[in-house]
Amino acid sequence: MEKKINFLYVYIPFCLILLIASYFGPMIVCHIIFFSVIYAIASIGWAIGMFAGQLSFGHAAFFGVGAYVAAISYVRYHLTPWIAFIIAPLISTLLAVAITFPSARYGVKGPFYSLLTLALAEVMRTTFLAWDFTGKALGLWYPIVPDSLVDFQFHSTHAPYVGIALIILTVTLFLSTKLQQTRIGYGFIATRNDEDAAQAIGVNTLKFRVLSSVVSGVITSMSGILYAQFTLFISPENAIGTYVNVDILLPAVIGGVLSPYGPLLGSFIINPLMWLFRILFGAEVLHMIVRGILLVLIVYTSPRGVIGLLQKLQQKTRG
Amino acid sequence: MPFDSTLFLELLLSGLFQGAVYALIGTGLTLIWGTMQIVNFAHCTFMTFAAYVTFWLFTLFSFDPLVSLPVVFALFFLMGFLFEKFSIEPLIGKPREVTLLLTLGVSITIQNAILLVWKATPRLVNPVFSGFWRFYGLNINIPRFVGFITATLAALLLHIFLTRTIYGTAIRGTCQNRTAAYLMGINVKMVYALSFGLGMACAGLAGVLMCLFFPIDPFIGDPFIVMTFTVIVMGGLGNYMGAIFSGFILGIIEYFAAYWIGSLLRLTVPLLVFIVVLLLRPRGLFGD
Repeated sequence: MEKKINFLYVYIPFCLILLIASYFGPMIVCHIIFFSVIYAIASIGWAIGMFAGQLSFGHAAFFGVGAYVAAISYVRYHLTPWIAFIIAPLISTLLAVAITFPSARYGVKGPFYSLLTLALAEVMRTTFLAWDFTGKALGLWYPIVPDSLVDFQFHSTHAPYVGIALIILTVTLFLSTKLQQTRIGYGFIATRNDEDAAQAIGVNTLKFRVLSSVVSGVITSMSGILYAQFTLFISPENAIGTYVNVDILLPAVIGGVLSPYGPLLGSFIINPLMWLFRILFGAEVLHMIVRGILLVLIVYTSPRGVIGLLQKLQQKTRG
Repeated sequence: MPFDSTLFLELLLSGLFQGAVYALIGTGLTLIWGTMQIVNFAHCTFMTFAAYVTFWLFTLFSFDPLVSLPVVFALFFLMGFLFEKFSIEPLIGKPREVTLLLTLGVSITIQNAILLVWKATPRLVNPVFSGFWRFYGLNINIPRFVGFITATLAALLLHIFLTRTIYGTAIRGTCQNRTAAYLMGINVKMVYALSFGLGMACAGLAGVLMCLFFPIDPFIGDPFIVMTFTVIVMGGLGNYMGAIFSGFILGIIEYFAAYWIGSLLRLTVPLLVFIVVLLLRPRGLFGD
């Protein structure tokens, strides 16, 4: 209990600082904060899949669902993008069940599950590249309208975007911690450690795998919606492309997968660093190289991420 | 153009020619999977790298791609061997996800390093073999035909190496049972490095062949990533002959899909095949 109060003392000022910085600071600061927050959301979602031992290489599919639902409902049907917060979770749920139920049923796990999800994202990307309804390779462009909450567009200041993203981040963090603390969390651990053994002692691993995949997909689709509303342009490359997968999984891997705060920490390490590289060197390429090198380094130094590293240090200083 | 037997045959041949490359990359990957049980995500990136090596050998020393085949083979074998020794060996025994993430990181790094150093400009190699060959009314693309022959030969040679030599037997033994192989006195670590080197050399050969067909750029490997995994899963993991056959089958599927459904969706159909195969026959079409 004591730890929880401590955390709130850190988390609330943290959110406030972000809000103030994005309202009063220069535009670029707001951009960096916004992208850090949405990739933190996506990455927390991705990590929930990992709770049940499902390493997904295709979370860009869910991200894309969110982005495309928001864009299509606004551009094609002139509905408010807010409706995406209802439709995108439904589609994500369907997608997650469609991919995870059969794979849990027929024992597709480990690397095969990763490849399966990668194939799912690629199917979506190649289909959207060829489909008129989704705007083919050109993607979908939002018409620019004056600031309005109904249209979900804010141009004079981008702070409302950060505010909305922070609300979703808070809900996500809460959900993720609760999932780990309750009985379901133990189910996840059992499924992750040894699926066959868990089944043998009567754990319904199928249920836990599908559940983790659904929650994970829904959360990631939320960040997709925010992404579409912020950039006001989506294409198969920037919403479902291969590198979107990396953007989503990297914060969690860097920060630490198994703690809900790992992805948040990771995202606030990675994204500002990436933007710094973009600003300093301009080249889109250099920050990707840094991304790859960071991934390699973290694998060797601390597979449990920065959080794992910190815990190790803490233990060392204590005894 | 009406659909007649000529068109059918041409599609079939194009599919076979493309399939040969898939078969070659797939064989390398399935070799790595079979012995070490790790998913090498960087395989297709190494292929891209090999394509660039071929391009530079051609531009700087005017090596024809076919001449640079053995050079690239040796180079990539060595690279794979060292890569395994120094970066993958320390990770053996850790969860499989770790190597998956490592190879993903390596793949991102190499691809973007290529992009940074050599830019995204498509580069073209003009091999000695070019143009078309008229054969009973069929138009056969000569570079692709040469590629097909080379890939098939290489895959068969690998098969012979694996079944007829002592090293091959050691690799196959390790595939079947790591512990038993270790107890029989097989140097398992050496086998790992050897098979990783061989797998990488296959990717290198495929890269050389890519130079024959396409202008190359840093992204030519991307469509191959999922396709190669499709090949090895369809063939049954660690099953070389299965990988070769499913490479050909997928190539043919791709070309017929491109004709009937449209070239934009040509990669979607093999991916759907992959999903269905993985869910219904996780041990592969040719598995036990």
